[in-house]
Amino acid sequence: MKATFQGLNSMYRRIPRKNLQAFGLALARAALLLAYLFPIVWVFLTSIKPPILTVTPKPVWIFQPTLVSYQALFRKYDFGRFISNSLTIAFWSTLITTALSTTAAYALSRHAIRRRDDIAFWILSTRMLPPIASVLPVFILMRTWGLLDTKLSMIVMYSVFNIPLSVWIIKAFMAQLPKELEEAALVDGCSVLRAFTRIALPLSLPGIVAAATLTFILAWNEFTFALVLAQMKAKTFPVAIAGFQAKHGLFLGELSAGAIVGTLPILVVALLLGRYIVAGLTVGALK
Amino acid sequence: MASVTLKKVSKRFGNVTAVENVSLEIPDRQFIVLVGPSGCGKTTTLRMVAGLEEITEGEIYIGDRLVNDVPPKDRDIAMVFQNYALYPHMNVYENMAFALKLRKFPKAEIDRRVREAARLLGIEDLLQRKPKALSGGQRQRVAVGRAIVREPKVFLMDEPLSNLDAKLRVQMRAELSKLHNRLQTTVIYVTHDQTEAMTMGDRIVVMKDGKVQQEGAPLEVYERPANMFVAGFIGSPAMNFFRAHLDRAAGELYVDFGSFRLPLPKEMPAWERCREYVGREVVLGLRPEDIDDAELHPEYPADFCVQATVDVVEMMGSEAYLNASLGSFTLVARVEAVTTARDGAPHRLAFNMKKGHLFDPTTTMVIR
Repeated sequence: MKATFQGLNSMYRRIPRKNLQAFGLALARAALLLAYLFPIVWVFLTSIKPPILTVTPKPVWIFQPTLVSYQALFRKYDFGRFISNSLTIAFWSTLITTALSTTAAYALSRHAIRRRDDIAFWILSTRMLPPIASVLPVFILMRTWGLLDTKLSMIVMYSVFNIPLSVWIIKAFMAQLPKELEEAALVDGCSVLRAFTRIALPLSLPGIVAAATLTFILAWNEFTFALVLAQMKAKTFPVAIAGFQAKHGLFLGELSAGAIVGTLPILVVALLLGRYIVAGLTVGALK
Repeated sequence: MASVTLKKVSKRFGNVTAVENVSLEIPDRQFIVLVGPSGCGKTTTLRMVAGLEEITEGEIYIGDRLVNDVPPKDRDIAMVFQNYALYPHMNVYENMAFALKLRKFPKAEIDRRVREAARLLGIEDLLQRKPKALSGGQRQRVAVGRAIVREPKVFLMDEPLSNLDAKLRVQMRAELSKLHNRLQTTVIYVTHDQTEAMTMGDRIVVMKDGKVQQEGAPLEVYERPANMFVAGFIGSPAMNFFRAHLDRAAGELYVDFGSFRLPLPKEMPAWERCREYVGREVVLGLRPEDIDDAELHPEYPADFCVQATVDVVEMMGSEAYLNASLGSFTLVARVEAVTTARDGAPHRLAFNMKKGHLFDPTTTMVIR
């Protein structure tokens, strides 16, 4: 026993301290990753299990994978339509939000508007109200306008709710661009609009892309308004998934398959634009 | 090429007056330097000429054209910014070609001009690089290149050398002067560095608190400063100032410092006017090079020499700066490197009073 301990001790001494630290860090990373990925893995496994195995009292880990749940998703529930609705709504609300907030952020970061800081804070303050608090008035408003169960109602609402956050992200990005760049463009022969489109806009692109991605994700995942505003024609995929239940319980396989399909667009966006998102959200954090 | 005229130009930001009543005539092809400490209004003046800052009062002409309400793009000016303001998303070629493209120059002409400017500035090998891949000196050259391809009527330069290291600054100073000689364009150059002002400008305008303190040829401003601020600001090391009493004895004028006194020779430009100040306080201004090591200059009469205590000898190689105390005064003398003065030891200093300047302590204006 003593000999073994000594052996271990000498081995420990032979491993450089730096390597041990790296090993510890890697272990911590792996644990964290597991904690984050486990639910996704579980959902994925459930989505490819034969339906009967999804409701066993003890989880079954060995099984013959099947796409039955995915097939049911598109045949039984017309899931393609919900995805298409969600995509249309997220796309247009992102486009509107980004266009409006880019110009607003430019004005707020560049022009000497009276009470500029108050305006900027007011824009942000609209975000402080929990969305649920405005659900009822919005419902009445949309009913009055005859927009219930239309994609337009959600495009409008998501744009309204996401503009503040988007303005602040883009504003932070534009504020760090040296003003002299646009001044140099003005002297070089640009009009104010051209200095914006040729200089400020391309240079703020990381911030704009970050804001747009975030807007897209928020619109894509939104549940509360979607649940209230669209029950039939314009139903979006999060609301649809929530409906995958029968009297005696949930259709876990189909629900999981729906969740996986619904995650894919976000995954693609995050993989493609992750670099921009980090740059956009950490503006000013480091010199 | 064009002249630039400022007529009673003022700029106010709310209650703060940044530039007050500035009038300047800048003839065609002249290299004029606006110099002064931070916050003196020199950059604001330049930005008003560029059209980047609105004018509160007054008129600005480029050539014969009143440009108060003309946007920067239509003023036919080019500007070099302190931080260069190169477009980070364009390479050097695109940076330099940008203004010409906006003006819809033919491609061949753009290419010819960009390459010629690049050759002139020695940056031909850098044309495909992005600004972030350039050193400070190279960026500075690109910024100048971007300005010269335009062949504008007026160049505006806002402290273009202040971000460079000392050695490069000296080199670029000479290159910009050469460039001006070659291009023969009107240049308005802003700096807080009096050495740049003295070495580069055909004419310098010294500013403080938004007002022009003095304008003239560099040597004229150096030798005949209008007030204590200009006298102290222009020249390095700065002019020494001594508060003293002006006295007359046996037909001669003296400045009396309490523990010692120095005669005012008749060759002094202010001598005639000085007589009005007899019995009053004055400020004597003497440049460091006008205080000599008495041991090395036996030609000075004894009454122009005073024993001082040398605090520190700064050896510069070709010369030495003596930081000395004289009663309650401290002074800097610029003497030959062979001086025998040592730290902490007494040493005789000779005052070249013919070069002295007298100032009114109340108005701070020169007595002349």
